[in-house]
Amino acid sequence: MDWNAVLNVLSPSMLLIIAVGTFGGIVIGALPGLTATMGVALLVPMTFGMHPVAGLSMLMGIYVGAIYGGCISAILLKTPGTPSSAATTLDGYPMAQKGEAGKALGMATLASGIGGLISAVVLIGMAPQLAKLALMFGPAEYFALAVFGLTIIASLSTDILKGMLIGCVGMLLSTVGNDPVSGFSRFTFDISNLASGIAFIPALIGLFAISEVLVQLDNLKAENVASRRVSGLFPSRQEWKECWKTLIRGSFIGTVIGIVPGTGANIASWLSYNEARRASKHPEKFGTGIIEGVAATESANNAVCGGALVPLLTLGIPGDSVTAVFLGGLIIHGLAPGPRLFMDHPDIISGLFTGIIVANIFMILLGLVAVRFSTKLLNIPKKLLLAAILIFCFIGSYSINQNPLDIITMLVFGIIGYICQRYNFSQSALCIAMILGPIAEQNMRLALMDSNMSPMIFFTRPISLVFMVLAALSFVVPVYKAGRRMMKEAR
Amino acid sequence: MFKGICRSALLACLVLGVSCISADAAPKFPRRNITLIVPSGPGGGCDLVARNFATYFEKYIGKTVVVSDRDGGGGTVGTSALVHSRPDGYTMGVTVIGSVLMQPLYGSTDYTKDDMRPLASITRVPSMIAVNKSCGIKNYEEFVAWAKAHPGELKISVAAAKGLPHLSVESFVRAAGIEVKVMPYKGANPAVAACLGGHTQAFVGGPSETLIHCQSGEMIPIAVFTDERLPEFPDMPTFKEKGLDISWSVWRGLAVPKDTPDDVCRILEEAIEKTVKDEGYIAGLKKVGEDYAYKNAADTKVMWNEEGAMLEQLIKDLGYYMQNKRK
Repeated sequence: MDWNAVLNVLSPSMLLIIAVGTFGGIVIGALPGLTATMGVALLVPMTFGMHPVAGLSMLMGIYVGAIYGGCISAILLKTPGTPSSAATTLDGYPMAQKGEAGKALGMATLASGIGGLISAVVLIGMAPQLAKLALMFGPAEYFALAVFGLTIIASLSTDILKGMLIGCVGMLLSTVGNDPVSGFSRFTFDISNLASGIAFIPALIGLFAISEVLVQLDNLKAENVASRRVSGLFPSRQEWKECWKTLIRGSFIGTVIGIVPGTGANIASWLSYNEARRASKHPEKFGTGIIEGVAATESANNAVCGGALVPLLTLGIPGDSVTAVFLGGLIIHGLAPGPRLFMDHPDIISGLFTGIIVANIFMILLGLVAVRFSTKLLNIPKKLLLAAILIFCFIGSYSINQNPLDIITMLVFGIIGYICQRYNFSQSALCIAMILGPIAEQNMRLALMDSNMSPMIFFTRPISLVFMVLAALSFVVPVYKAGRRMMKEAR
Repeated sequence: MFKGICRSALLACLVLGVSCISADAAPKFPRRNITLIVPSGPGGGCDLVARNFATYFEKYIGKTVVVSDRDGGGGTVGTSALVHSRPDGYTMGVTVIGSVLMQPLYGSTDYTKDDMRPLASITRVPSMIAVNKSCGIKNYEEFVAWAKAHPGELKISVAAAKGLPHLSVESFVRAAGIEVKVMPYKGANPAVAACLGGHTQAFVGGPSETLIHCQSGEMIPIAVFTDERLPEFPDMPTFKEKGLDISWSVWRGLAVPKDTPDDVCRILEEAIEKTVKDEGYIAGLKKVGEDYAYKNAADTKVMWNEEGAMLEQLIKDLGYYMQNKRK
């Protein structure tokens, strides 16, 4: 460690830069449609004239702030501000409806901070040792990981058949666009906008936010369900006791998913949610608004930030889409990542590491302040709030690419989401299938190309085999349980 | 520190296109701001090149240049927007070999290269082959020998199916008479990671993606698809030196819709020529990491026609060609 560089980061002007970055990140994250990737991409040019440590720490602040900020709108409005907080709506929003918005946001803030700090410690302590992990994932391993992820669908749905059905719909929707291996276009109907597939963020906004607005419109005349009472921010000692295992588990799941290139925060939060549910003594309570659900998703998605930097800094391979933009920032500053970066620029590495820790601390502090203000949203009359959400959804979807088709995508998925809610299909299952479908498809085909079409490749490679076994277990157990319940009911 | 903040704030103003530079006399063109359509998302190579260009182009055209990112469809969404904009010179677009020459041959665009009028080409990213150091291949001769000894077993990762690196490999494979497996990944970074992790033996893509790994010794450069050697890789031979007449680069340029009046185009072309000679522009380009490769409008037109014909032949040979239904 270069202590001079560490002290440098703690100077007032640097702290200000990081605080501004983190605050900007929280705002970007909380607004649907603006994502961490976009925030960092837009601000990379701003760092050209800055000292590398200042510029990179600011970008880091935006990154952790944005990944965290998504949970605010997810919990209060059931509108995931970033794709990575979609899973937070599952328990966060019911908590807010029960009048525990403050506690949900407080836990989300602390969980994000814990996840971020644990992954930062892992990054600082063992980045070079963990770098190898990033390279061990070939097509077979990615496919097995995706299959394992898809089994979440089975445990998320109350009705397994409906869950699998809607999951298949999601997989089919993810095949729209150019075929990833042969490049021919599929189901695009000659609309060039569809060549790169259905735009995911507008679809997500539609699926969660628009559908919720439609559902709320149905019961607009009914009593305002959301309680005006906002509970305290900090979880009780009892709740800490229930959550600490979930927090640690979520942080490590997030860190590992961050390290593996090509997978990011949106996958980590679902995996962590599923693992928390599986390990829980009362899995049936998940989805009804319990604090562990929030702890699981938010610790995992912020832990991705530190994890994703491991392969970036040690190998020059970004761990997710945000760090891919970050790589551009590093190179522009003349810092070629790789083992030599640690030897040639120890001052910058020490400074950046300090910056990450500082950004996470600022995230907790600023988050707790933001939470106090944002819970006021619940006091707004529902009619006005719904109108405002609708406007934000339109702006968010359109501003990504200034593409009118994105608004249509959002509306279509809003209707799909509404139908899902009405007829008890899981929107989350659809969302997971759309995230993992493309990863599963491309990697299955690459792996089979590699093995000359022998499917044994998925079972002869150790990491792939482990995920396949886990997938089989996590699929068979809920199906078996559901089958037994159905037998009982039949009797 | 304070100076740094000031500098970056200033730069941000320029980048965000809010600087106000007024024209001295009032010429016929341009009278208002110019939009520059970028057919990709913010933060990518294309976007950075465009923003750097716009910053200095403003100085010579005398109006603000607004950069508008239109991502999607492998560049076809933004290019289509350019083609269908009003041909008055107030909308320019960044052109890329993929969206201008290749995508129309794959059959899902509503334009062809003839719907645009090139103003210039400004940068290029050469394609090169690099291998994983542990696969035992050290140079071009060994590469070809290994591929000949193991037909269809040499795996090469590329950033995308049917992108230029993929086609470059196919043209090389045909010329050298070897057989390989091309593995298309989702983006250049995963493709490099696959090669570094030993999941493929080789990677084909731009020097900016391989440079750091070649410097650290994890990857070995084999050959480059350009006419002359690259300054960053003085020891890497070109395919021309090895007796194969193949040369491919991802170039970027500027164009307007085809019906834009001649006098307007001339004003734009002159301003572009001054911009690319500006020292600030050249320095900015270096930071972005793309090669300076200026060609004027006439030369670019010739290049479009030559490369277009070659690509059409190659794409038809490979069976990728699709009739453009909407044209």
